[in-house]
Amino acid sequence: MQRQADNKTPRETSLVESEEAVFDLLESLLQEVEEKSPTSVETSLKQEEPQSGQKTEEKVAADTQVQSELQMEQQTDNVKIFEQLPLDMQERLIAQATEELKIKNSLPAWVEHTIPCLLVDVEGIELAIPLILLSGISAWDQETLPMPTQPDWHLGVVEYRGENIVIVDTARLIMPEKITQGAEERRENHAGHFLRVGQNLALSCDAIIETVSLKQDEVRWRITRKARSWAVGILIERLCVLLDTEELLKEINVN
Amino acid sequence: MTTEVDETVTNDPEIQLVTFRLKDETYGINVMQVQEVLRVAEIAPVPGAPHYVLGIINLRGNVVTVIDTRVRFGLPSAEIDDLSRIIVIESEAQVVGILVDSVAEVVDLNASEIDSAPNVGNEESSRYIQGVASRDSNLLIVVDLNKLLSDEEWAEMSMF
Repeated sequence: MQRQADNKTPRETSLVESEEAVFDLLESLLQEVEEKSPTSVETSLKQEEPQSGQKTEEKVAADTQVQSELQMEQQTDNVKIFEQLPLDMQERLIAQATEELKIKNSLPAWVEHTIPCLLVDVEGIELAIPLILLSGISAWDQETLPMPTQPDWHLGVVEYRGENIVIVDTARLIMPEKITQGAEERRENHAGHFLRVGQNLALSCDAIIETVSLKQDEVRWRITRKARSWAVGILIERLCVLLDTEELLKEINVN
Repeated sequence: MTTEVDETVTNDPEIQLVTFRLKDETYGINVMQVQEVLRVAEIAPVPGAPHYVLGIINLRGNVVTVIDTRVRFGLPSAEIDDLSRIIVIESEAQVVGILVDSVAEVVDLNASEIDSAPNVGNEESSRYIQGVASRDSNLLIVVDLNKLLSDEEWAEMSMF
């Protein structure tokens, strides 16, 4: 890409307009990675006239062609504006776009535009759990049957809606450094709620706090998750971990 | 004349250090790596974090990890009080906060005034120590922030 750091050509375009144009360009570059095919354009055209059913393939192709040309034209304009920005701003925008792409590629499959979450308290620490990953929430006041020779995170079995569910000690799994009580003691002194996450598993928590609806940019996403794979991000405002229960279940299965 | 001055600057550059207290000692870190100094507000604990990570803070919309410097230096933990500060530093392309007992001042030193002192401190802390300098009959321990954590640990810092 040609860079013109010292280009002094006067332009009437304001900095704000330039930035908007550049963001349009970067957005389109980001989308190019996964789109490229005209499928989405065709789909939108079809949606505009869902009942016509008479549009020929030639007409669709022509519309697509026009659409592509318009997009190309817009992109060319954006490239020109981008090239006229100072070098450091170009580099900053490229770095920003690269970072955004990395984040986008690292998001779990269940992440959507808004993420409804349940906030719970575990050993005094707040955790956010996406509601989409939960299949039930219940007060833990049922009789709990302890099972012999189980790992220390296994708190016992309860009957829930006609099924036997294993209660998992969430704190023991994700914050063992906070646990001072032995397994037996924790089994006897349990309280709070459990959150059903798997076929026959539920996570223990001390209290339900509230539900929140998060936007993607309200979370600082962890791009690489080699360690603590269940922590997919941090809620920036509340400074609490967003817990991916699917990853936690994988760890349980490994153990 | 100018050449002589240039040579002196090159051979014995002046550095500025931000000094802070930990237990009974004074430490210094390169001012160029210090972004800001904060009073201690809410530090949220992070589940599963290493023992030397105190938690995270929200710094104007950015999540910053806070290191318990006493723990990292192998010193006994202390309660946070009014003098405690979080020094926000940039090292190894990461921005982190280090909790210290108090922040003292900014001092000017010539590089030649820093003596290498491989045996200062216990084994845990000695690898972060760049050297020692004498200031007003007190000892100032100069810390190499880049060696505060290993490469893996620095990489992990950005991912809390």
